[in-house]
Amino acid sequence: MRGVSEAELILKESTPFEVQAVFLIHNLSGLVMIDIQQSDLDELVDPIDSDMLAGMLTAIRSFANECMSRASSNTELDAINYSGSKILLEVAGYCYLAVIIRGEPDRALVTKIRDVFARLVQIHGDHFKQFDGDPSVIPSEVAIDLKTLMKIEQAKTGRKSSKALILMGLALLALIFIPIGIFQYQANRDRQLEAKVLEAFASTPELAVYRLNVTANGDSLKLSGKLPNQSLRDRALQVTNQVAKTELKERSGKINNQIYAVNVPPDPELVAAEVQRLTKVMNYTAGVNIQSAFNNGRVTITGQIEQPSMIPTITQTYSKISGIQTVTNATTIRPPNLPTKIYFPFGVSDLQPTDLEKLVEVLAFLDIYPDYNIKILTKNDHLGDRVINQNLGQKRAQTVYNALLKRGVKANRLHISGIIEISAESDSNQMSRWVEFQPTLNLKSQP
Amino acid sequence: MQSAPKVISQKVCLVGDFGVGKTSLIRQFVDHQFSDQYLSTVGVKISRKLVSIRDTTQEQLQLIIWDIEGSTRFKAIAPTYLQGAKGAVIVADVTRESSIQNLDDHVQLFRSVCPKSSLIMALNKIDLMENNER
Repeated sequence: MRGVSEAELILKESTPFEVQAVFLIHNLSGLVMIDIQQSDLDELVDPIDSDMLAGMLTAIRSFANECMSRASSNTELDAINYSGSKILLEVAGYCYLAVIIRGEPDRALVTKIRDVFARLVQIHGDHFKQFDGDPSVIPSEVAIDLKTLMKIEQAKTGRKSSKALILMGLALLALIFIPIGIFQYQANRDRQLEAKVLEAFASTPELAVYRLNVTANGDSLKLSGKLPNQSLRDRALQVTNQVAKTELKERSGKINNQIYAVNVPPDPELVAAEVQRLTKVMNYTAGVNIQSAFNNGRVTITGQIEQPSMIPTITQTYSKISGIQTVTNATTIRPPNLPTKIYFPFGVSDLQPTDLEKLVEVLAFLDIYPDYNIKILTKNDHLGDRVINQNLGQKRAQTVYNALLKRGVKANRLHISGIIEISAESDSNQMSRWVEFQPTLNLKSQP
Repeated sequence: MQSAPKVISQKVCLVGDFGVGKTSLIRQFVDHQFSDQYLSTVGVKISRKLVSIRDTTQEQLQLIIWDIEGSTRFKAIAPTYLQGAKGAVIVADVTRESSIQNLDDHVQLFRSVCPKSSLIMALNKIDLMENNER
């Protein structure tokens, strides 16, 4: 035994149908009480011989009812099917309704037919009872009501059903394709952002040689890979921020930096070469004369440096080289020489105009060597009274001291030495009397 | 402008034994032609004849004529077919005495179903009797 499957039912209900005619027929005589046909609405449609059809339908109903009533009681013929069309029969009181439909009517139409017919029988039952072959006794409202089952209704139903199918189809397509479209748009944006960041890495020399991965996924931008130190890791983050700033702002996204800073063992030969290069560069600096030795991650620096403040700077510079673990700085301080001398004529303690250049040399020294102060020494000749010469020597030192102070040198960087030595020169010429300068390490700069 | 005449329809049944000439009679009446063929569907053949009444064009009578097969096969069904008839023609074949004898049965049947309806009896094939007499 086989029933109607749901699929068949849906297919049947989705098939378009058309109401071709509606006949209200007298139950016993088979005479037509109301005759509404599609030909009334459309001239191109051939009319159905309603009287003949009504008679035959009545005969067939009678025949069927008689036959079936022998087998069971209360049976009624409610439909006749023939080649793609159907005659629905609804019986009530003194009449029955025959609706000829091409196609398969849906449940809504059947319900509508029953509702309309039941209402007509209820309202106009007495008129139906009185019918005696004269259609004029049937109120015109009956025909108007029955016309609602005709073309307009079926067209609406047909349109409704096809419209519903189209809408359902569109809704289904939208359900499928809209998420796919959104996904693809988002995926394209992600790929573009990834390409942009990777291009920025490739354009950054210190990052270009490393293989870094960028994965954009909606509001997250993930960086991954390995870099040899934390500073490069920070650099990668900085580059990404610069490039993806706008996009991340639009998405309210964040960068997830999963780049690992790993200690890549450097090539010892490259490290040694870098140490030597740095040593060479250092020796170009004034007051620096150093040598370096690299062995197994350790650097030992020897040599001489004029300024003590350079020592930590040099140590720090070597320690920044990748692959250097310890730096030993064994350099010694070699005070710089200031050969400037200011000569004085016999018995004179004032400065000559030509001495101004020498003062400038002293001033320059003090600028170049902030770690050093200057001790002012006086040399006297042996001519004349020794005491007078001592006083004169002191005066000459004081004159130079004052001249330097006058030119902006701070007093704490100048010191007049109390030691007065007699020049070994026996000549009494100007070259045997002078003031000279001796650099002395200031207390702050002492190692 | 003259309005269409009012048409009143009425059901008339043709009843009689099998082969008495009911269908031939109705064909002569409706189409003015004879036919040897007999349409047997569910035991009823329906024809229509529009006739004017009372010498007026304002009303017309449409006769829906139910030619009920006289076969015994449909005897139990015949009363249902008679329902709602305004009139009946009971037909007998004058050349077949049994058909005449059965006239009363047919009259009784029709009266039981349609007691207020008109009824006439028609003796058919009179021409055959005349031919025989010649």
